[in-house]
Amino acid sequence: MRPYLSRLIVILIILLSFSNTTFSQKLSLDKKVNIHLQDASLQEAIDKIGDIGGIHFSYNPQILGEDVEINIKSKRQSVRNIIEELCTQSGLSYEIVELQVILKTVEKDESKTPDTATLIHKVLSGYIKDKESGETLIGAAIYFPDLKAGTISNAFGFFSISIPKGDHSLQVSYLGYEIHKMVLQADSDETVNIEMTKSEEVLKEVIIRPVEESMVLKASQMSRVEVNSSRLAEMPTLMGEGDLIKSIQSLPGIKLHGDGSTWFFVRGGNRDQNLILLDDAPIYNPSHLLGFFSTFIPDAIKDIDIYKGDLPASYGGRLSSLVDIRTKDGNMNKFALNGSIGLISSKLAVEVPLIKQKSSFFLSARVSQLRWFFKQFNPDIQDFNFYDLNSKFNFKINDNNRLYFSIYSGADFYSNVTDSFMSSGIKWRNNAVTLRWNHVFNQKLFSNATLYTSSYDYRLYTSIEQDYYWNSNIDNLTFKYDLSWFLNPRNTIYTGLRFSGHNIDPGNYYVDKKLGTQPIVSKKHARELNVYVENEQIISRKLNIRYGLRMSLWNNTGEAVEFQYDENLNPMDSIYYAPGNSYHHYFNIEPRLSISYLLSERTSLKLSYARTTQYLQLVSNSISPFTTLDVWLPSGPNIPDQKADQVALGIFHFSEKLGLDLSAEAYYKKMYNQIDYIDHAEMLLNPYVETQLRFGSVKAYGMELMIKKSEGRLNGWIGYSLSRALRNTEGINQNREYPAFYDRPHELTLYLSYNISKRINTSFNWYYSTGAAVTMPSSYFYYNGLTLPVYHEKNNERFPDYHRMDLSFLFRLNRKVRKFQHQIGISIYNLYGRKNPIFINFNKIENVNSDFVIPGNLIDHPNLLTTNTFVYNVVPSITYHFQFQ
Amino acid sequence: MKKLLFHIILFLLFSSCEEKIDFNVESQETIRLVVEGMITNEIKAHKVKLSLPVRDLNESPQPLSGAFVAITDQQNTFILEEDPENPGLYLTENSVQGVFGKLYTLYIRIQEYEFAGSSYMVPVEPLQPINITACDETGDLFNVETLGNGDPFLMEIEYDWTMSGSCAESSCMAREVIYHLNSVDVNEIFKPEQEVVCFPVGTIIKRKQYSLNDNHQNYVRAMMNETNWRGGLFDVERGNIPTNMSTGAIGYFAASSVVSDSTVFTP
Repeated sequence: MRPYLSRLIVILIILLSFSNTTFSQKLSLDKKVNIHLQDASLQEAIDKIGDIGGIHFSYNPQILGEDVEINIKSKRQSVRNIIEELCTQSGLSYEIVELQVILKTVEKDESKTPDTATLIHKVLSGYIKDKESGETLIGAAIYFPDLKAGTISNAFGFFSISIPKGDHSLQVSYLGYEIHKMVLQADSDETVNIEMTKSEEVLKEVIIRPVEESMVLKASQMSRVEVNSSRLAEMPTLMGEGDLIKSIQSLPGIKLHGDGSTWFFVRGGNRDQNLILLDDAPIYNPSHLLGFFSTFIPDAIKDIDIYKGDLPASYGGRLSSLVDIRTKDGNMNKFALNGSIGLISSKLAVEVPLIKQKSSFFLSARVSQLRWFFKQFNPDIQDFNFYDLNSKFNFKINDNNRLYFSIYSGADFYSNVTDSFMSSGIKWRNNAVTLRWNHVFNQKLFSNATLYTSSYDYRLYTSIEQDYYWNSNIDNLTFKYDLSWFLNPRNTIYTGLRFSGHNIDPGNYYVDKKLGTQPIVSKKHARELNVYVENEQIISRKLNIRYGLRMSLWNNTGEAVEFQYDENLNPMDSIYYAPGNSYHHYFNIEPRLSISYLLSERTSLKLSYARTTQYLQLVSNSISPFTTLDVWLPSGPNIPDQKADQVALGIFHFSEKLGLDLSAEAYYKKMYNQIDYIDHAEMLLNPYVETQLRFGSVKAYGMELMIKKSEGRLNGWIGYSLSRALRNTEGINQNREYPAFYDRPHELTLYLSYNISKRINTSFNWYYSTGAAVTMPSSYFYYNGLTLPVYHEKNNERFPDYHRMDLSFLFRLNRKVRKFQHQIGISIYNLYGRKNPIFINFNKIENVNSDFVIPGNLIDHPNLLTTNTFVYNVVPSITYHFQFQ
Repeated sequence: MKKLLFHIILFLLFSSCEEKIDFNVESQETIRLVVEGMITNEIKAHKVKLSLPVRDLNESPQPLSGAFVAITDQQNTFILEEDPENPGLYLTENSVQGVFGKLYTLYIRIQEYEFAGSSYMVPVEPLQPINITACDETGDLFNVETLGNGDPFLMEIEYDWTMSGSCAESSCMAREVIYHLNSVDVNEIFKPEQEVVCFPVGTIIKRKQYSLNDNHQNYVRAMMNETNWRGGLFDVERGNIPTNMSTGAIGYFAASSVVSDSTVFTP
């Protein structure tokens, strides 16, 4: 009888609730209260909320589960939010009837979550958007608490999920936004576009966000970190320049090259083994001012995903990591303007809705104001500038079709007068253009067609007046097509193809175009085809698996000249290939596998394996942290394709009580055909540059630990990594294994952000790592007045340990949210003035001006000094930001 | 260009960018023969210096005495005798002259160990007219500017102003070595600042320009990578300097054509 009785009561309550809706307006649940419930029973929780909120609950006591524990800790939350949280945690729902809150069960057997796969299903799909701007949200969690099932919006904010027919409560959450809750009647396939509201509560102690955490724990994807763009604004900056690359360098497992550099190394991979995508287009050199700042304008970035391993099959082309950057679409609802003025640069961004809720235009520009500054120090400087321009046009043709067109351009110029008649300089430029078409075939099939091109061009002018310069460049034109097929509740299939054409000039000296100077280093061309298929499969409630294959076909094509070498690498012959002629190819199959097993509702174990290949490599024997004269070379007859195998195992836990994500990942990675250089390799203007290279392997292994708190008044992370990267190349270091330059066994990162008040935020960053492995002399000899080093072993010593502390404050100048908002950022970079070396040299003397110089007078053997070159002392900065909507 | 880093650093409010440090490197005793030898087309006593490496920076090298040293050109063999006043320095007779077109081999025997290295001469380009500019704004001191063009060369310049009347210091002599190579190296383009050798009016300037064959040029390039170009903006990986000596010896035996001139500087 009991079930019938309880159902009867519920039916009566529902009937009552419908008949009295006019009175329900009288009960206010907007009252803000503080509450702290820890491991409370449902009964205790109801009583306490009733007391604090001054409301009366009605319910059938039989619906209260005995094993339910309620944890809610919040300050100044509305009673409504607290009741919603109570319902989420207990699996109940509520209705307001007159002055009462009626608690009721969702009509299903809660003791056992239904096997969603065996029921009649309906498909729910749509886009998740920011309510105010219409901007699509990437990685939002769509979750059905009663089904304990959910999904995550893709890179275009689209989602699709099959759910059993019937009524279900739906919860959508996204970092920095209010949790969106609704009850959904899934009687038929339905499209739902969900609009999320930004959270304005900056002082919340704890916002319990079990939804996203649950989704992340369940997902098979590992070794991935998402950086919210709003985080960039809070992090301490160098000279007030918010910097994406510098920010990710504070994540465990991502090692920085050194001060003044945008280079970074991931899990034993070299600096050119990180794929940086801006709206799908690769950016080959993301640096300004030789690497002091990166090319990405923080204001233009919507979302950043970093993969340290476990690359989905849809991505490839680099061995070590992927940094996937998505730019903002632009406000579709109203005009918005924001900008900042700093010591280095000024920025301005505009968002213009062209057709409300249909089309928008986004433009963001950054221009440095260095030239004026430098001229004060040195009138010989003619130019010293950089700029960036990001723009995006987005057009919603209809519910099933969207177009995105984005452009990025960034460049650096430096020139100075070298003598009375001549000036020299450097100039480099990155360009990227992407056209994307999202098409929803039906609620289960989403496609994205992308056409993009990107290029990097570097020029070293020996005479600007005569237009004499060394130039290297690389560009690509690519078409890719991706399909996401939400086949059934258990399987989502991702498949697609990519076709690229690559053009590379490895560096030539152009002295007089009129004379038709021929390059002496052959230009290279290649075509690349990638096809992939991957299935994300739910085996059971606890076991998720993702498996896929990526195939790549690389084809070297003319016009090109390739050399043939004998066994001693002496050139024997050269072969000319006419334009379009295919003359060498590589074919590789890259299997990918990820498995996730839920040990408990809050703990999961994950395992992944990925093979990756790389056909484009940066060849440079420079150890400088600065962007040097970059030379890219493709794989071909004399340069083998690079391959890597990585296995990773991780355990992930979310502590709801503390709001902490805890993760531990261990990995082992082996890389093949890794480039090494003979001593004093001649890399520039060398047609036989392949003779300077040697190929070996790299073995990398390590463990990364991270504790992260994503939200709340105090948030941030602490990370530690223990890792090794060891190289072994025949003909290098007497064939003995040696640590790579970026082998830094210990690394500790600490980042904390604290909202002191509604208007003041402070952030703190501390980074420590073992010093870089470097080759140091073991003895010296003398020759013609010079002191020459003798090296016993490669990378036999280490720089002193690297550490640096940064601090920043952000002052919001408005008391209330207004159309015009502005704030001031104050940053202190390298707070305690640590002098981290970028070079240690043994070849200097001190001259009369107390400068350290190379000795010129060799008559008496000069007494040489050991010196440390470092980049930063304490660097304070101030920046003013404004926003108008 | 070489001041680019300095400019950036200055701009970024750095109080200093380079400082003297104590950095302890685990030195190792390297028992390897160091050879510094050259034969030229001059008629003179040609020198070969033998020594051992040192463990610490600025340590005095230990000369290697008692070696048997000879230079052969496949037709003639010139025995070098150790200079009694300069241990480790071995000299041919005064009448020896190297000739273009011959392959010269330096042969060294120390106890049971034998070392050999060969080299050949290539023609040397004529000396460019000397180019002297003011060293500073006072106009009292000057320096030689050498523009490198044409074939690679090594130029040794000796300055002597002891008799000029401007000699107030303990040493009024200087010596600098300038290298011009055909290679293009980013660390040469952005090399660190070098001490400028300045001299007063009345200085005797002696220039000697040595030709460099391809192998010798590679040696000099590596030597520059490890000395004059080391520590610049775009520094390269460190590595041992190649040699043309056998059996684990280091250093170089060169054969060069030489041209020279001498000038007393009067503005």
